[in-house]
Amino acid sequence: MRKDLCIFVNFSKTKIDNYVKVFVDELCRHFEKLLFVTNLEINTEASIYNNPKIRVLCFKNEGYDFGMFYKSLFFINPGDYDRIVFINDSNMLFNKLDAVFSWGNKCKADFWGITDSGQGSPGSFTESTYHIQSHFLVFERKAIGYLHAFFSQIGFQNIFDTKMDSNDLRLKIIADCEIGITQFLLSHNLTADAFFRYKDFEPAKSHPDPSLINMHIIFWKELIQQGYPFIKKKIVLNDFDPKYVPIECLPDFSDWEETVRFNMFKEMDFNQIFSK
Amino acid sequence: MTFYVQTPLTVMISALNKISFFFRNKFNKNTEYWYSNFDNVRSKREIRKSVFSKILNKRLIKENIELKIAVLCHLYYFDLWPEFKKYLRNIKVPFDLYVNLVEGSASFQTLIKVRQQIMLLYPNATIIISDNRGLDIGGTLSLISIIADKNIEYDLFLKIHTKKSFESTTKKVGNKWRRELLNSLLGSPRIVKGILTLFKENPRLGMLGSKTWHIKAADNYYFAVSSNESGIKSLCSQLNINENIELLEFFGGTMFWIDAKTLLNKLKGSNINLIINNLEVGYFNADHESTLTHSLERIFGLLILNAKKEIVSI
Repeated sequence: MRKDLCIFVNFSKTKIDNYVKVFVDELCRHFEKLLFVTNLEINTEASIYNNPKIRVLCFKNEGYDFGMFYKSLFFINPGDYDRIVFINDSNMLFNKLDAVFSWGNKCKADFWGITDSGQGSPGSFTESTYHIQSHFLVFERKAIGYLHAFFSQIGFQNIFDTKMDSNDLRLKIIADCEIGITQFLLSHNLTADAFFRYKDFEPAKSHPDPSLINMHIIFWKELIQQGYPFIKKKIVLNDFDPKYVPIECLPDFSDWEETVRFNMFKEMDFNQIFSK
Repeated sequence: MTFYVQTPLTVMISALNKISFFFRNKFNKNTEYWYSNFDNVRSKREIRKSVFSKILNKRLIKENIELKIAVLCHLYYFDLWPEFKKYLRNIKVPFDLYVNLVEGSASFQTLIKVRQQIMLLYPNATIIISDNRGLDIGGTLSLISIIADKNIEYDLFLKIHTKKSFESTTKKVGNKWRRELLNSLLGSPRIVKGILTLFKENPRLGMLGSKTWHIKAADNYYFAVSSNESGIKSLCSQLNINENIELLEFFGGTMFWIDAKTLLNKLKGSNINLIINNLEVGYFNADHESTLTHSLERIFGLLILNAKKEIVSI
């Protein structure tokens, strides 16, 4: 019998947000086992803590989402699984994931995701910057076998003993982990794929250099209109740091609510997901 | 009352510690009862005699004991690994080692190094790093959930942990307590052999631990149940155990040998995740309030009695 595991990483200050509950609920339709990895020390959400499919792990917030993912790999024996899915809470789900997993189950790639990108990051150590975006990363059996080797190769364990400026650490995680893991697996002749490939995405083709765009921000609306089940939390909260993204480069997000309402799964409750 | 360290200064410190501890809790009858246990530290010889006195068929001792054993070791204070390593050498029959290290007990990098050290000695050990939830009970349940998940069958579990008890008592008392428990379970190859013989000889034997720390509600209800009555009742209902709390027995310090099948059957059915997720996070010493963790500590004995098995102390 197949053994699949979903590792969902959550960062909360005081309580688990409603959209996280909805997201996790939907994931439980697709997985028999889910690790809910959170920095929150208190149980604020019975639907998560009292779900027999879920094991809650409370870890210190170190190394961003990849830090949590890395730690979780020591809680399990990755080799026991046929598929490990790594998801973080940076997106708000408003649609079912059936189409994604149905595509993924037919996909022959060793690892895949919902979106890919060619966008680099300062400090990327690889020449190529192609990567599967880490908000939703799926590792099939062959790729699972390389996870510990990947983290060892980049010396990830050292981040826990080094004092690093949080901005530098963030950039390091993007470069070494988000881009790095795709490049590492590709260098071992593993294959990658994405449900939405930026190279095939029509709206992106008109861009002077599609490899430089972050699809789920720049083409957020077009993606949703084509069945993308998420909206980035940053868009909803209008929480863009001009340090990283110049405001003039951002598209208009003003109609996000209307767009989401129009495209969301009918049985899902907008207010439940998007209320705090 | 006897003191365990003989220099005048340490005798004085020890006495002051005891007096201060006693007065801080002077209205609590628990304390006297609790403290009487620390003075009852036995030699390994005494423990061995106690084990062997219970074996009815002495010829069995010479036979090969074929029991499938899993050692469940919660290693929060990994500096105690050298001590635990020595104790584990006293098990002269094959066993599987499961170790739980705890995130936050040191930097994650250090934990990875400790993990590697253990692997050097026990390459086939299952070593996990889990969150700091439910003290040793949470750690042990995490290990049991792996066994349940993989459908591995064992006859016996040995549950041990790096007990130091900094908060409730002094360091030396914590060390003394831990060694008394470990000596009773793993004190020497002969003690281990004797214990395994007892389990082999008596299929009704469900749980075994230190006589010093065998606490029964029948002897001192308030001490045994403490503030956990409601927690114990709620767990009984969750685990489908008759909630006859008057019969409650447990080993203070929560180290024991236990019938693995009985424990697994109960926990599998009630879903381990539900229990683990709701255990308290971090270190706490809840002498005066109910916690799920301390309620659970007291449940293991009831679970065995409910399966019509016996609890024996040595």
